[in-house]
Amino acid sequence: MSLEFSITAFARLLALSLVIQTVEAISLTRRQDVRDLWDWTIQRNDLGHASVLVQKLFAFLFKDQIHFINLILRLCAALSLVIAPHAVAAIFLFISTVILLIRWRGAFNGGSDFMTLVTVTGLLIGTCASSFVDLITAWSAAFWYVTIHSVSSYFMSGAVKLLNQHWRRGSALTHFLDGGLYGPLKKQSLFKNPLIAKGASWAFILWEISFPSVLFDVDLAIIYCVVAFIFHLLVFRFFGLNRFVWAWVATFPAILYCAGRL
Amino acid sequence: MASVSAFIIALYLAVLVVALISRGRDFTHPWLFLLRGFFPSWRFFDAPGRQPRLFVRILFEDERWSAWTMFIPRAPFRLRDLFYNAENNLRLVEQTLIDQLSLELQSLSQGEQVEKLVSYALTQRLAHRVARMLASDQKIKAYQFELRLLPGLADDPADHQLLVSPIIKEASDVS
Repeated sequence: MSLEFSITAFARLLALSLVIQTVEAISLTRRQDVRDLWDWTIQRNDLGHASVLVQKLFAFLFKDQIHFINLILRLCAALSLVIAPHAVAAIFLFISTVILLIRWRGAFNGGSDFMTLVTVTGLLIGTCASSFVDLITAWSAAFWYVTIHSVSSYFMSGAVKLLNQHWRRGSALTHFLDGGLYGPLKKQSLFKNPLIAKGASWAFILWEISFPSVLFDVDLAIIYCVVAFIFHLLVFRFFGLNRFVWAWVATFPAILYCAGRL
Repeated sequence: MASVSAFIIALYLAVLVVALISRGRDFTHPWLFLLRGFFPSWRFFDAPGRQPRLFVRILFEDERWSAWTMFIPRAPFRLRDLFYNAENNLRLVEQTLIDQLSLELQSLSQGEQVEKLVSYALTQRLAHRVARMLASDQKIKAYQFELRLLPGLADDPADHQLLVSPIIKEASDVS
């Protein structure tokens, strides 16, 4: 893939991911049950160790109105990526992402927040470094940063399963699917069949641990990214993790750019 | 050039293997906990061990206790959730809160009071909301919550009680 196309695809897919997350977050600010539960007067004790100045800063940032303004600006910054990635938007998105992580005690939606931080950091590297070095060097660094994280996420996820006997037997798959948001599995579900569960588990494990092979060949990278998209849709189908789909899809242009360039 | 690439790949794989062998880190420093997104472990669904679950019961006006009810995020599947899933993501972050409280309870040092934990205070609010939902239109006098570890695939099939809250009066939230 050409650098220009990769940057455009990366920025637009990241925009989609950020817009979905931010619109969800904006809708939650209007709910009384969310305000009652995630009350900053309780959560501020997480920052009990910090200086008074830092505590005051976050108390200010997490006032309802300021939090709402942050989200609106975040939405605008995310939408601006559709036109062109810019350093100002990237810096704001990075800071805003860190603030939101702290608001939700480190993560609202686990791994998808972490991958969002990775992609936003990639955006920050690409846009800011472009001011100091040529475009190719800046965005190559950005895409390698994102690619290493994305490839590692698949590899680590597969490797930890390979080391677990319940995953190797297939029983862990049924166990986790039963506990999923859209679970439990129906009695007639294919995944209740131990042979199918074992086969599916091994297919996932082998595919995940072999993911680093995408670094060697673009065609292979395309196939792995298509399978990854289907995989994330399946994870969404059973666990409701919609943000994971878009957070990881945003890394695919970086992977496809880096593939075969070692 | 080829030897440099091979070295980089070998180094990268070595780092991955080291990360795999070393167990997941416990973020003991508050800032590391809040900013753990900078150090992702990428260990998804790694071990089907015990699952922490919140249980809530309510005391009705007529002094009758309800049965313990488990809080578990469940929802009917909708394709549109792929693009907007705020409600379910909120339920999932509530379960993350239960998971976090469970971790903190298991590493609580002697003399440390559970009531002082942020996770405990937030869980009490969650339990209150669940109690209200359970009560529906009925008036309640009080509620109580429990944290139990449900059996995973790895060990004995019994539930383990991790925490039982005091009885909390509905109006004042004071036990």
